[in-house]
Amino acid sequence: MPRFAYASWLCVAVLAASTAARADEAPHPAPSRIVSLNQCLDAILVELVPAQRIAAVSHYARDPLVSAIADRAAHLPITYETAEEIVALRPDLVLASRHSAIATRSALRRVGIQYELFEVPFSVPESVAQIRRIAELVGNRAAGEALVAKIEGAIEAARLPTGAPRLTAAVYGTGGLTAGSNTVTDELMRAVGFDNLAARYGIELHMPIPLELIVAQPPDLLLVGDIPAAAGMQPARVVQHRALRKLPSMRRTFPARFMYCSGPTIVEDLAELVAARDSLHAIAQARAAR
Amino acid sequence: MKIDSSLSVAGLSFERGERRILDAVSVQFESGAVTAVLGPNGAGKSTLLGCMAGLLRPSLGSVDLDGKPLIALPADERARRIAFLPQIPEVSWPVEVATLVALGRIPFRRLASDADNEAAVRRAMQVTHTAQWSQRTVTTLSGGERARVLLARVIAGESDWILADEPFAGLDPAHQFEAADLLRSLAAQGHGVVLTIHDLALAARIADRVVILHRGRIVADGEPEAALTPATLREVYGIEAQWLSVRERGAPLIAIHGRHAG
Amino acid sequence: MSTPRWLMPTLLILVLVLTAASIAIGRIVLDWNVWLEQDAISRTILLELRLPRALLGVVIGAALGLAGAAMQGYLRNPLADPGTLGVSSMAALGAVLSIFFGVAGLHPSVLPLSGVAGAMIGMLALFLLAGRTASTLTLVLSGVILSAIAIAGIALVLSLSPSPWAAGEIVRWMLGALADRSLDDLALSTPLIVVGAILILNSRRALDALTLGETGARSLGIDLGRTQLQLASGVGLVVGASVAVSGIIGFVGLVVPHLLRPLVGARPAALLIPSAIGGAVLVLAGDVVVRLLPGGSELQLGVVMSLIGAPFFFALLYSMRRQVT
Repeated sequence: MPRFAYASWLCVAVLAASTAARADEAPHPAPSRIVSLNQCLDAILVELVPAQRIAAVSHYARDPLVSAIADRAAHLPITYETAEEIVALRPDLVLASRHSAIATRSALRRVGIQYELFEVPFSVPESVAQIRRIAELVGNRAAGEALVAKIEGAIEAARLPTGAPRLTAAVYGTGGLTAGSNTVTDELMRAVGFDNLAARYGIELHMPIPLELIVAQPPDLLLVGDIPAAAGMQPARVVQHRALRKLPSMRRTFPARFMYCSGPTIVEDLAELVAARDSLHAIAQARAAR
Repeated sequence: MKIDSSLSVAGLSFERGERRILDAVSVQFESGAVTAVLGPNGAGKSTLLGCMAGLLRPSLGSVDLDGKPLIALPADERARRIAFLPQIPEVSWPVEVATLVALGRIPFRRLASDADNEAAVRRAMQVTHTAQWSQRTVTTLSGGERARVLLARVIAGESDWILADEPFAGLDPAHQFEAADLLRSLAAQGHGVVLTIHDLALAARIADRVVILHRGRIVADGEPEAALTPATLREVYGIEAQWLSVRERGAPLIAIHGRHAG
Repeated sequence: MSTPRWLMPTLLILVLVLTAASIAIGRIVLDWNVWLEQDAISRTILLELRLPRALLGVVIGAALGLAGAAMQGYLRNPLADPGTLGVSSMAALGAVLSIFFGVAGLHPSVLPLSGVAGAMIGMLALFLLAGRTASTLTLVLSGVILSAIAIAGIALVLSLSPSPWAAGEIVRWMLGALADRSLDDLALSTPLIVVGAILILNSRRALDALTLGETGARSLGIDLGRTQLQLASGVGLVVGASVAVSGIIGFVGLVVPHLLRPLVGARPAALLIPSAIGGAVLVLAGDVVVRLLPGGSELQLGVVMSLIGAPFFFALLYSMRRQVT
């Protein structure tokens, strides 16, 4: 009985708080207790607001394997994305993704906490629109535009110089997953000057690609998924498949966060792609010179 | 062919939990005879037979085959010397009769050739009159027919000793006598046959020797007329019984009148 | 009844034909004189992708068929199968736990051995729960319990996994497939499966003797305790190594002995080797079918086997319902 009373008191208190907050919203003060529930959104958030305004990022943000901001997140509070933790932080802005548990999202709605829902972006314009939307929500349009400019600038700088030959590339991540057409990775690859092998076979989004297809037409660049230290199972081991080892393709490690996150990771991703492209061009030129 | 073998138990005790099922039982069986082990429910008949077959380990005492301890024998050799017909006629799979009878040859492994095995199976099926069912599925046979097939399995093992636990249970009288005749002829050939049985009258008719167990102890041991006295039957079974001589038929029968009044 | 003379040659021919089909079929059309041309790519596809997949189909199919026939013989129940009785799930749990505790990366053999350990524990737990004289109901319930335990353990590991995408990967692995396996997988699993098969085949006499029940078998000189250990080890090795490579491919051990019993007879030992070969045929056939089905992505083999096997199991259980309790 007392526990029930406490829970209802808590709900009432939160409702009152959020109602009060909404009542204050008339002049739209910038949110100062922002909670992000997704490591990709975390990466965007830390570029747009100072640390004091971040109430929490997702616990994945501290994992260097999946997060681009692992060192920065070490100093930030985290949650394990449970409704309880989120409620206790009394957030005035919650950023959630489609990967956030449905039950958690329903719980937040029941308690009266609004959250903004974000999908995985399937193109650079979508990613840019996401950044702008988040910048709007946190009340820092200027930082948003700066980040967008940085990304768009990086893309422009990365574009294949005219006259330079196009190359082929493919992503082969754990579980045999690749980035097909309609993904940010595909768009970046094409901008840098790589044709996506998966797209050529009609593979869209993030689907498995049979190894045979990669072996049959080895791409110039093979972006291989990274394996956590403790991996042993087939989905992880397949990136070490003997058939791949014999390919003439240049291999580069492709962390999972490049595959699924966009925003600021685009810049990092582009740098890797450009470096690989330039290496391949240099090798080709050296060979032609002989 | 004379099989000269003896199977004996000495000081055999068997305890299960708090209960002492067999209490220092000592008895020796000789081949070439049919011995019936009788006793009321819970007297220890099946336990005694199980110990003699090497399937149960006694708490005290020993079982000896031809003077040597049974536990010293490797399991295969013991199975070749002593065949056991369990009380419950389990047949787990719908196999053919010939296949089932051939299971009796399992203890032979490589000691017998395929030809030897087939010959033994044929002989066993002939003797039990089951050869005509050779390709039939066992599960399509009636209870009595199945009992004959299971007996054929035992006979196919060509062992010196045949221990049968309630081989007549659930059989109609004609099949009972059929099985009994078979066991008697095996004894006549020199095998040692020891069986547990409920039916006193049948036991009296077919056994050369009767051993009566009561509360884990032997209370009578001898030829049927000598062991199954009315006094013993009154004390052990609580029944009134009497031996009758049916003049035209020869061997005397035992007739049970009813429960003991006292 | 002895095995009809045409059966074994027919099964072996089917294995050869389906192995050839498995090697020939795939997304890339291979030239048939691939040996003559110094075509490195076609050779790589053939040797590193098609060949291991086909050979694993044979080895794992045989393993699962043999395990099913052995379990049915020992438990004296035609519904026994590593999948339905939870042994495959326990093997998967063993494999997943080796990842979770970080030991799988130490050496490539750790993963299949962990699968074997899981499967052996599953078999011993099954014997403990169901015993040798268990009714069908008790057996099936024991299988339900073991599967539940295994799946709970796997779910626990999934929820504790550090990577947000590991859950999807593990689930997809568990659904069962032979796609993109390598010669390394073949090299790791085959010795374990061969040793397990030898242990199982060594129990032939005991399985036959059990036709007469426990007492009958013991009276024929069979050591049931040793048989139990032999089968727990043998089935554990065979199922554990298979699951570690391919995930859970179910119902092979249920369907194949059942189909062969009318042809070979119900004697348990007689079913062992035919079930192994029949299992190879079934898995190879399924693996060819998943590659022939229209659609972009290949269907998982385990899914196809379940789609065939689950209704089969239902029909079998229904036909046996009077003997269930």
